[in-house]
Amino acid sequence: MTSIPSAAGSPNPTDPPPPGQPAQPGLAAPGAHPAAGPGDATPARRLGPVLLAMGIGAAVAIGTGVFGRLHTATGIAVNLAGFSSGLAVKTWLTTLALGFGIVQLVTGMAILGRIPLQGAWLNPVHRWSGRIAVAIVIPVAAHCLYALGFQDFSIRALVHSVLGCFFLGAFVCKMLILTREDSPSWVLPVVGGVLFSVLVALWCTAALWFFLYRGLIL
Amino acid sequence: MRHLSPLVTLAAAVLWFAALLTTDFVAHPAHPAAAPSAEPAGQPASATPSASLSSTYPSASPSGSGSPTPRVSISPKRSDEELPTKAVYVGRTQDGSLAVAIAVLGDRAVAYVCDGRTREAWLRGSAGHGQVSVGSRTGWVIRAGLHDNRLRGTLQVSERTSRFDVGQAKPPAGLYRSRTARAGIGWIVLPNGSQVGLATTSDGTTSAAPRLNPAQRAAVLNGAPVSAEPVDGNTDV
Repeated sequence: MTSIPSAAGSPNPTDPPPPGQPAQPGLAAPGAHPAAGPGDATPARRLGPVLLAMGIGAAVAIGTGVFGRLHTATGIAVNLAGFSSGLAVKTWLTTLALGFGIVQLVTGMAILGRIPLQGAWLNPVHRWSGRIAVAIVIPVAAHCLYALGFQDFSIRALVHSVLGCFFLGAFVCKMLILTREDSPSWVLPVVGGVLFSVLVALWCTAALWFFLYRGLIL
Repeated sequence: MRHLSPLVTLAAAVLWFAALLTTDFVAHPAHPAAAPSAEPAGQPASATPSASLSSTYPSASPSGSGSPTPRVSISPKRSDEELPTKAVYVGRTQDGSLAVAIAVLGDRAVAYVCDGRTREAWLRGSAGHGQVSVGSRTGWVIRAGLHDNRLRGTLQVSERTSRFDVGQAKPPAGLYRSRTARAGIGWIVLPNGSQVGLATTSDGTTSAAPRLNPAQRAAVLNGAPVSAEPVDGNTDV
């Protein structure tokens, strides 16, 4: 399953290809042209759609923050199964999502040829670990947003609030970018890396804080 | 050139998010019982902190906005009426500066008095023969008697005596509290839905209590959810 990485033979750089077309070999050589600007590779690279996706993501992030600030925090939101213990369950869900996030990081890097992992399983695993992570994170985010709101009573809460909004925007941005194959080659690693970094920061400013504050409780 | 599966993922995520938020809006509205329009005429509109949207923590209602008790209070005297086995009476002092809640359970009584800004006291004592007599560790004393199903009486704080005439509360009106290692909070929910309360955190800071959702008995203090419990006459305060 593993082999020496080769830049020229790296699999498809866009991570979910259409089902049934696992890889399009030779489409890109990311090692050869790092930080490519628009219009320097053989298939025309276009930055415009990327900027549009980023703009939409920014609007989502700002809109989320404004809602979180204007909406009066209720202190309570819908209980999914097991959500009775509130913060603790959110903490564990976020931790679970972080686990899927690490799977995302590893498979994402492998897809881009940065670590020596290959196989037809990479793309489905990357796609489905991402979908599961999002499905897990969304109830947590909805609870944060509805029950707690955008808060600034401490640096931790402010950082978490800002990054939480940013995360939603970055996710929307990445999904939009994934629909196209003509983005500059640095875009996906950057957006994916940002998403993972923000997820880690969100985990640190909430779940880790919770574990330190309350202990490793369920 | 275009892949649709990320859009499907995005749409599913948005729907999932929207479904959760919609359910929240339906199941846990932000202002369950205290919509300003629901206030009976004659109640001070400023008593409801409906303008709390922009503030981080909706504060309890400000005091001094008028007394909702038009009756002339009388000194407590021997009452012919018997107290209900279990009841909570809430209202304001005659000068409107303090909210008063008195919970009776059998022969026990607990009271909470609060101005929503800095002053509060928990009082405990006895009930019987239509009379309530409670006191706090800090020397506040309430004596009240039942007349026409209302508790009328006096609150004594050092040399000062305030009169009150408070009616029986129907939920969600009543007396609530929250006690955790981090903070103690008391809330008086008045019949018009407005709230008066104080939160005292473990470091000794006192501030207006965050808005209580009486239906869910939940509030958010400094970003963390806290749960509240209704106080009865036998609660250990």
